[in-house]
Amino acid sequence: MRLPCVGYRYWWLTDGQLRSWVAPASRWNLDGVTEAIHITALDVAALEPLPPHQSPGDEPDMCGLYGFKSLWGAEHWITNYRRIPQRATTEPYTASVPLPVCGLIVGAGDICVHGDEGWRASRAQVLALGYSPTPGPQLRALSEQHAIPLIHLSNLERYADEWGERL
Amino acid sequence: MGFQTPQTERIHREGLEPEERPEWLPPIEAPVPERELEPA
Repeated sequence: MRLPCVGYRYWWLTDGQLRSWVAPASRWNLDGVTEAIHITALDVAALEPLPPHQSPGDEPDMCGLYGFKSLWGAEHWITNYRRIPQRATTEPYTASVPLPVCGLIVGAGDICVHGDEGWRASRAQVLALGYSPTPGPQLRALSEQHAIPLIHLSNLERYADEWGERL
Repeated sequence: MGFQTPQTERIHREGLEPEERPEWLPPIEAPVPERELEPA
């Protein structure tokens, strides 16, 4: 059996939910598998869920659930794409300040690989959430509610090695 | 958005199918984890 791939990524944590870094309408299922949805440049700022789509598509389509092959890669990416979700005019979905959260995911299904940088998968599941230096109350609550392990960032790669293949 | 590296390949990995959860995945109804490792 070929094991699925593991990777690192960031989300925005707000109102007890993990939202896509670039498309806040895309909320991750914290109790199981998240299915990729289609996003376009125009949809990135959308706050409403988008219709299902065959994802990931080959380039130039860049949708899919993103995983980076290294924690450094994920951190480097968000520093260049620091987009804070904006409050919707029709749906004030958040009353709290979005917090950046790092985590480990496993991807499966159709996967578009981008060299040594990372991949886009059609399905993924959260395996662990990272923290440093200590997990805040929102992150602790998320972990407890959804039974997702909290791992110090310095141990996240070691934890990832327990899960299997890094493409 | 997107990766800076162009797409190099398209693959398929089994697993995470809703109808057949792999054994290696943690159970959805798992107890609250207490896995907070100390920094290395």
